[in-house]
Amino acid sequence: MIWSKKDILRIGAVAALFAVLPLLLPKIGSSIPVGTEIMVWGIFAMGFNILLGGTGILSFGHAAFFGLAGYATGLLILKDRLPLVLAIPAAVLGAFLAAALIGALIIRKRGIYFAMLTIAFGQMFYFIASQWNSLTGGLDGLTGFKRTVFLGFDITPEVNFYYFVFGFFLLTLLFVKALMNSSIGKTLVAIRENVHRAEFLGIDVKKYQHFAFVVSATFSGLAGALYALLLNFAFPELLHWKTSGDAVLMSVIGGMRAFFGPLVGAGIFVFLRDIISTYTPHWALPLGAIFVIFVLFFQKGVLGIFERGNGK
Amino acid sequence: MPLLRLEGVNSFYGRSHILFDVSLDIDKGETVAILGRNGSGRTTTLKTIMGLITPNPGRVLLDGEDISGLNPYQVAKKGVSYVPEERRVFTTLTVGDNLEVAGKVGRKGHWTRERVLKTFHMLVPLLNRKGGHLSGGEQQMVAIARGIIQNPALLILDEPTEGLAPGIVKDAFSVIRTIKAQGDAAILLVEQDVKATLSLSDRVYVLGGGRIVFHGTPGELEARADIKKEHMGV
Repeated sequence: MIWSKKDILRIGAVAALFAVLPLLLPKIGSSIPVGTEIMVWGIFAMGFNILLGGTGILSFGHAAFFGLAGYATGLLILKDRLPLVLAIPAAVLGAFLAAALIGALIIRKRGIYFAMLTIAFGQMFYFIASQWNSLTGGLDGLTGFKRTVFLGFDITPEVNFYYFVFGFFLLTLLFVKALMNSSIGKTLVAIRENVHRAEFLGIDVKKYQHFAFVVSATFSGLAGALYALLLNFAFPELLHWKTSGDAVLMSVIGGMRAFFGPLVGAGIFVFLRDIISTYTPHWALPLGAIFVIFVLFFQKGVLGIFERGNGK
Repeated sequence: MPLLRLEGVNSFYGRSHILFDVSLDIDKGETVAILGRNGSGRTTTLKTIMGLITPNPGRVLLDGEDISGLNPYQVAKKGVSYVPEERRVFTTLTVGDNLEVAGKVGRKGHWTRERVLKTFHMLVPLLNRKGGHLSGGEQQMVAIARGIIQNPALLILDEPTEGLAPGIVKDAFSVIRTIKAQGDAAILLVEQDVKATLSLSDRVYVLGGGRIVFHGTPGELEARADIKKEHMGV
């Protein structure tokens, strides 16, 4: 069985919470798109954490795949008039291929050099998107596309789109859990812990690291496609390294060693930003302060605080 | 043809010359010990075999194939399992997962998971425990089990009993004896416990100052008080 009973119960509980969230959000002064956004960033962060928490590799370039798929979705709908059922997979495939190529070029670099290269590649995408006016709309972003129907299901209304994203969200949780439960996932953890010891076992470390990079970037792409559809808008900041930084922040705040950590981080991030930004445009300041507090005092994140050290 | 052959191996750390014309053979199923004082080049020899250091000049042959210059994972894939010294397990993986990760990438053969757990019966109650929550002795058992579950042609054990309590040292030697008795894997043993090592080795090499200063059977070594005194401190 690729999921334990405990996994099914936990994922089921999270699914149940998100299933009823559209009813709760308006009651607490929030709105349904905030819930949608939490799931989108949740997909981004959970996928991202396969690489960060799972394999121990820090990337500041995953926004490139997020934004690439966002733009691709918009462009495929707008210029090629592709139906969503084709546009979304094509956009995600684009992120996958871009990650496979970029990953092959940079995965041999270690630590800080790798992180710097991810920033460099990410910023390259950012500048292309912000300069190529005729295709991307430049700094103003890409507008004029609208989410409509997906296989006959009208996802225009906010609540319908929420449940549309919910489906992908659930699949993401199940996939990431199954991956981390598998021999491949355990091998990634072994690599995170000790690269040399993993090599002594005959593990082709670079191959696995490349795999983790591509899989996580594919989820970045899925999240980016959904985000562009949520906003009906794609803009250069989607590709900026600061967006990659948000994924790091979510993973760290929620707890990158806990399965649901990045999701909790995404929830806190989106929710707090939503609340704080109604009072001040400088919402990043208190969020930054929270990040600092977590790094200094709660390195295992929110979920780490509740973790029991029973060794199981 | 020997399983493993080092041919005139010279190894360097940066510009320091550590190994001088080291040649040694290990036959299939044989247990060979490398003895010598700290700094004699024992660990460097193992690192050269594993591909962490490329000999220059010199060659490392596995089944007649030149493997010098391969990466450690490629050497491991060819059937050499290296159990390094010091903290040896993946601490955030359970004992079962440690074995699974190693078994999946290793070769298939005599040492199935069931056989391994029969020999390492002390690990059975610990299968769901994380590596980091094990005692030093338990960690070492996991590390040896993880090595043998890969069905290596050559199992390299680097100081397997270092820092372990005497009772556990006995257990460790007992499982090494069982592995030897099965005869599938040759064993290359680097150990400080000279007496126990000699009692289970077929042949011994003694290193001194990066050179092989003795090669023979344990019985022959017993007769060489000069070697024992100068290079082993006994």
